[in-house]
Amino acid sequence: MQAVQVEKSRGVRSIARGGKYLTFNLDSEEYGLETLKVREIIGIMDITAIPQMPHYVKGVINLRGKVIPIIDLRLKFGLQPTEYTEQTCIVVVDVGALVGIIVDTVQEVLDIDADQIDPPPPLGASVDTTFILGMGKVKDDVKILLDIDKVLNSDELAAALEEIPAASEAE
Amino acid sequence: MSDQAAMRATARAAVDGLLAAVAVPLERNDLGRLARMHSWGQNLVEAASPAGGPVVGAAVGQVAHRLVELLERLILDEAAQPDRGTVLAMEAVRVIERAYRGDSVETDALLQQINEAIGAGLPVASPPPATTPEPQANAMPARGAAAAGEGYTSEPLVLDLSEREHLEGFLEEAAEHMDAIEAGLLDVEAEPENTTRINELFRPFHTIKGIAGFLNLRDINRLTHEIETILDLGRKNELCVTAATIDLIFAGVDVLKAQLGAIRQYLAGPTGGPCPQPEVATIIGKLRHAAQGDSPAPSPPARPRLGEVLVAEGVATRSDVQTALDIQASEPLPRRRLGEILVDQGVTTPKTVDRALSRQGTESALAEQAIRVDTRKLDLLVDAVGELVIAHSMVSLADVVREDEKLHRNVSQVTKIVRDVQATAMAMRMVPIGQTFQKMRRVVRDVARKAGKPVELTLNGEETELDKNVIQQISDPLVHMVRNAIDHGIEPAAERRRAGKPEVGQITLNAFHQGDNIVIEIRDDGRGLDREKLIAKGIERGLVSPGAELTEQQAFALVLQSGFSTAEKVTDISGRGVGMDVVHRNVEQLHGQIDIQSEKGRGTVFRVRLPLTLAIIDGMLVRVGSVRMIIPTILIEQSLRPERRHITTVQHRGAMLQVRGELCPLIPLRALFGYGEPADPGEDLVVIVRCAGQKIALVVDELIGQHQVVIKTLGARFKRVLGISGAAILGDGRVGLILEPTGLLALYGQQGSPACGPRPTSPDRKPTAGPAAPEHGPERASSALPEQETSSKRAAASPAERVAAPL
Repeated sequence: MQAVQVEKSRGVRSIARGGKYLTFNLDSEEYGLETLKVREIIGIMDITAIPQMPHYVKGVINLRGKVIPIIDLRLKFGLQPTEYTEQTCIVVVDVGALVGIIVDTVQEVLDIDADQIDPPPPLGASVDTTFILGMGKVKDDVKILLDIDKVLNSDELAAALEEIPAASEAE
Repeated sequence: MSDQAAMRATARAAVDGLLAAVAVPLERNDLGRLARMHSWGQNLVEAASPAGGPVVGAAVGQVAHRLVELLERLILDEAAQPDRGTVLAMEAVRVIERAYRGDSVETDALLQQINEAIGAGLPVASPPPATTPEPQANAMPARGAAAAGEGYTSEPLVLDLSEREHLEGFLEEAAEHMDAIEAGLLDVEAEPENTTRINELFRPFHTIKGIAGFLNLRDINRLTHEIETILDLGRKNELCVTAATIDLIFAGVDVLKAQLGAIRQYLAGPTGGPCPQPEVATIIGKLRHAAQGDSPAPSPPARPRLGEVLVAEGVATRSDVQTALDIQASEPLPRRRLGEILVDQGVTTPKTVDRALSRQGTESALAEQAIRVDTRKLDLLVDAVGELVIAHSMVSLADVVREDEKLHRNVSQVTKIVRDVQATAMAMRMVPIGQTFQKMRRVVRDVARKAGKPVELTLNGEETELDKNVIQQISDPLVHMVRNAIDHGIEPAAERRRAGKPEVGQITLNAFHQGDNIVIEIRDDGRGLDREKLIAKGIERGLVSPGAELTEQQAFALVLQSGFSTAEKVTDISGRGVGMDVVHRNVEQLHGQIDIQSEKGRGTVFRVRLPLTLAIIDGMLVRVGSVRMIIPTILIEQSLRPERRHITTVQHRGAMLQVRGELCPLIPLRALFGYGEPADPGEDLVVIVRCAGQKIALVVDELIGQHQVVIKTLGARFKRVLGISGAAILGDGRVGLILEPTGLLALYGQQGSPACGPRPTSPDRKPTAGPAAPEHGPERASSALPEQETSSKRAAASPAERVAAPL
């Protein structure tokens, strides 16, 4: 099922590759994350707030003995905050270090071929387009494929979180 | 052949061991040392016997034989003249060493004296048959009686000019080696503990020695031999290679060079007479003295004698052992071992002896019992054990467990095991602080020399153990404090004399356990800290506001602040105003604390208090808003519910709480960390913690209790969060934050007391409270602290928040 490998651009933007994507909801949009980056998915749990952090850094949790930071993706993307529910999940991703991201609901794992992926729109998306790898078209839906490394290693966050090497840019 | 080689090695080790054992005066009740000497002596007797080769000279065997007997009597406390016996034993070792090295020795008188000390009435075994009159397997054959005395006497050197080519080749090679030697010596000087370096240095000397021996260059041969001996002791850690040792070796190298130069000169224009030789006896004497007299590194723990083990186990009676020893003493060499005799006598069985031998902890058994483990693996184990402890406490606290009696019993059993496992895992990382202390000797020597102040270092509590990771991180701060003590603390000799103190300054390092902490003291008998001077300096540096009343402790604590240096002139060693603040920060990173005591003119004590391990810490669990935080118990002075009348407001300095007549800044943690509205300090609890000589009062919402927590670093992923030194996983699996007072003070200072409110959150981004999110208080310019305590209403510490607080 491995899709055609699209050569990675040497430019600033990474280009989406075909493959398996974990899809989830955030506000009214659907997003996708490369499953290679995903470590595990856990339900929302108690988060210990860390002072002096940007507002979207919700704090830290204990993941079986490891203390990992938790980012609220809604807040990170400047969306309206919402109450955490049974549906709320923490997706633990590996971007050089483990980081948990809070999403509204986790959907499913989808195979998205390279030819189903469009480049990100120049503007008009609800999310900063530099965070977008591409737009995955599955049937009638469009999934925003996130460059999670960039999301979590943006300058602002990198200033707060240390020692997370920019994995996608490593070339 | 290889048997003989092994025997030779054993003999050499035995002579070295004996020498090291008599490096400090022997005492008759030091049974461990006597027993070790006994076994080395026996090895030599064996090495001298025909069966053993013989690989050492007969004289060695004879004296060793008598030494063994003497030691036996001393151990059993049956010697007729025990005190004289110890002196004779030491003398015997020296004679053995000389004989072993190839000097011819006079032994009759000594042997006679030993007999007397042993006691005339006791049976004395006949001396072993003298096989060869001269020692054999030795690099240096003895040459006449000249060398019999303490010193070394050169003989006229007659160079065989037919060997001219060889000699010139040797000079050339030696010159190359000299370069390598000088570079190597400097390396060793930089790293005296690095035995590899010493080993590298050993080789060129050995080569020179060998060729010199071959070419009959006796002085050079002997000189290199003596240096080699010292290096050998050094690489085996039996001699502490100090700066003095290195100076001595350098001096030896200079003489060696002079010797080589003399030969070169002679070869350029041979006179026909003997080659002039620079004097070597003095340096050889000094080197020998250094090899014998310097204090050896701590010797391995004494191992109990087989007889003692058997008696202790009730296998044999004291008289059985005595009988066997008597039999052993009367046997011709080689004698049977004590165990063999006991088995033959029917006192015990071979199996029992085996067991006793293994209990005796023979060296080979010891080597097998220790394995090297990567410390990262240990860290993983300790981490996992930490998890186990937490997971287990979750289980043991479950209601089901409390209800079911049988389950409760079983769980209690597991609790015990878990505790044992935890203790064992922790113990595996514990190492004595001694090595770190030893390093300080070098530091003291260097710094004292540089500063031109005579200083003596005393070490106490070297065996005190603490976590390897802690030791690694405390080593540099210790070096700095010791340097400071010499540079700032100890006065120049002239000043000390004027003050009526001994010229030699004293630095004492103490380490001891106090509860679950280790305390390391750096004590000097120098001039002490001058409070007035400190305060004046503090004002000058803008660290203290003029007119401020500082307690002595607060004044002393100024030295821990950055940008503070009291030395009137900046020296090469310290006094740049960086250092003590770094030391302080390092100690705080280890969740420790520095205390300073000083008396003007009498000296200063820096007391560093550290938790024994970085893995687990004792802490007071408190609630701040909805977050639980841990205050290391080591820092806590007391906790109290303050009375309103004890809270005062100082202009521009925020609220202060009066505790036992001392004013401490009152820091509302909730507001400081933006965990909600500042609570009314009058209503809340206050924990008083020590911080750099002063006390600060932390306002918390609830005291939950004392807990041991497993420390996790936050630092790996988060930039330094002011006031938080790490995270800990609590008994229920959630994360708590560990507080760090200095950071708190800094943060408090930064935010400025009046603007101390919740962190700015724009209304649209204000997180909606989920079950986990801390409830942020209503957005408003938070009340300045002074208003805070005058307001009698409780500032919005909403009940919801209190309920939301876990646990």
